[in-house]
Amino acid sequence: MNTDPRLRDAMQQVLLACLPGVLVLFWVYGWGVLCNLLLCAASALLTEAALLRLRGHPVLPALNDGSALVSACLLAVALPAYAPWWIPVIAAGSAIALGKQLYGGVGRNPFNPAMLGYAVVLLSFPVPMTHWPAPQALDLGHALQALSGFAERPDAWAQATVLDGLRQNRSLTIDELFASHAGFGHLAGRGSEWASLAFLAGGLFLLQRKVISWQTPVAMLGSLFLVSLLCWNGSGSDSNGSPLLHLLAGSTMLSAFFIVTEPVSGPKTPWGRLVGGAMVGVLIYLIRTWGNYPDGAAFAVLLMNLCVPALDRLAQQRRPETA
Amino acid sequence: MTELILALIGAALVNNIALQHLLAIDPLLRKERGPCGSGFTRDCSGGFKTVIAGEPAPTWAAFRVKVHALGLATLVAMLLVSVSGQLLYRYALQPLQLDYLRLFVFLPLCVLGPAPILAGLQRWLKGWPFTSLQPLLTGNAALLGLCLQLSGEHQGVLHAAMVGLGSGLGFWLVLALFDDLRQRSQHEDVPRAFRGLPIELMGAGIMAMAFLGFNGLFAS
Repeated sequence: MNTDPRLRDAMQQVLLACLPGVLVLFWVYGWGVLCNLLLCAASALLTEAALLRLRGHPVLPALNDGSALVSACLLAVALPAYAPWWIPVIAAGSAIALGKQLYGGVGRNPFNPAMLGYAVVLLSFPVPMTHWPAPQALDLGHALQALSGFAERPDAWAQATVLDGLRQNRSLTIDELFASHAGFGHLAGRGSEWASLAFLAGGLFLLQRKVISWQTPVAMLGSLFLVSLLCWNGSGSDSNGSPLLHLLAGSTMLSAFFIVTEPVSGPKTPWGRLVGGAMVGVLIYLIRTWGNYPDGAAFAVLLMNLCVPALDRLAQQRRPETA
Repeated sequence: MTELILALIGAALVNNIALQHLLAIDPLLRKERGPCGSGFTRDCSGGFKTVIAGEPAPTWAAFRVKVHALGLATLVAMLLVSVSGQLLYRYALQPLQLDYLRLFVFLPLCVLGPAPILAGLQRWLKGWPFTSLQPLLTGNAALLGLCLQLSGEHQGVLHAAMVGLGSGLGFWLVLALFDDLRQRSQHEDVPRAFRGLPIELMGAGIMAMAFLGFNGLFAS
């Protein structure tokens, strides 16, 4: 069994498209991002190799296709920088083991592996998963200490993200929040808004290379924009946030171009992609605005994956009418 | 009114009876499998034949009808049993101060209730295979669990009806989604030790994890 060259090519392009986002995150948060990347990659590759061996499949061709690396890379940028080491290790390990190898390896996974791993650690370690560091808070030595999980953290090491700040805000208007809250930048999160733009650029590159289809990201961003526009109640202290903020905050851009576009677990038909993408956008808004979790992408994508057969069936029933 | 709607959606999605309370897992994870992976082959005879009369073999669509029949029957049973259980509890047991006998009242209700419900549904929807669902509904722990849960909540009958309806809809949704997931996870590439029930249990666990995303939503 040899590596499929098309798969390998696509995975290389996805990794390349991730690069600007990773670099911006590195510039903003420092070494923690690279530590995440290393730990996730090591854990994913080791788990993949061990499970392939257990199943009696050839190890090297499967490792060569790069799909485990892509899952690890997406996880590493989605997890908070400077998370204790066991979080990226468990996330990447369960992504590969539960999300991919258990269902028969590459091309067979009914769920998005990266988001499955993210959901596992989000539900298991809810507190460290909300600790995003303040930009440029730690140097390399402190970063390594933070990784061990037992570091004494300097004051104001972690700060609430934009979405947390917005949710916990009771008294300030949006303008006051942007002026006073350390986590807010120009349009969304300080630093992370640039990372969102970098992921948008990477996503446009993937679209131009036709690695991903346009329907899912457009539908997801469009529905998120529409819902946040409909639920936008001005800039008072009870504001749900402007549409622009929702498009640039949290993991919106990463999810839109790198996660919901995963071809195996996502819908196969164009109409299914449109409806599935729109569903993810609405669910992300619901969960991040009124739910219990910092961001809703992982759950929204898993729920969409569950509905994929139904969506594809509906799309196929639709086709004879339109044709 | 808002509270009633929130109770309905909450019972369907947030406190899903199968995924969060782990009731009614038995009908969800049937061991017998159909030709296309649907969970129902043993009961292929009987009422089921009427659906596929004239066709050479049971098709995927016919198995799908069976899944929806179970969902609809459970929905109606949950609605009727939770309402009648709540009526009995509030207007018979509580005035007589016989609260402690609730288990002995709910249990016969849940065992005897499904048979007339299935017969009524069969008369209404002639093509659907309701009669063969008797063992699945009679042994359904979700009905009893729902009655007991509602008797502890001290809410009105209308609330009980909404929770019953929501739980039924939630069960139907999970049943349909789970059937799709089962078909996606039945192939040669799944490791041999995990084929069949183990991978279905894993799938149910991942599904429960995804539904946890609704936590905190739709709270009044």
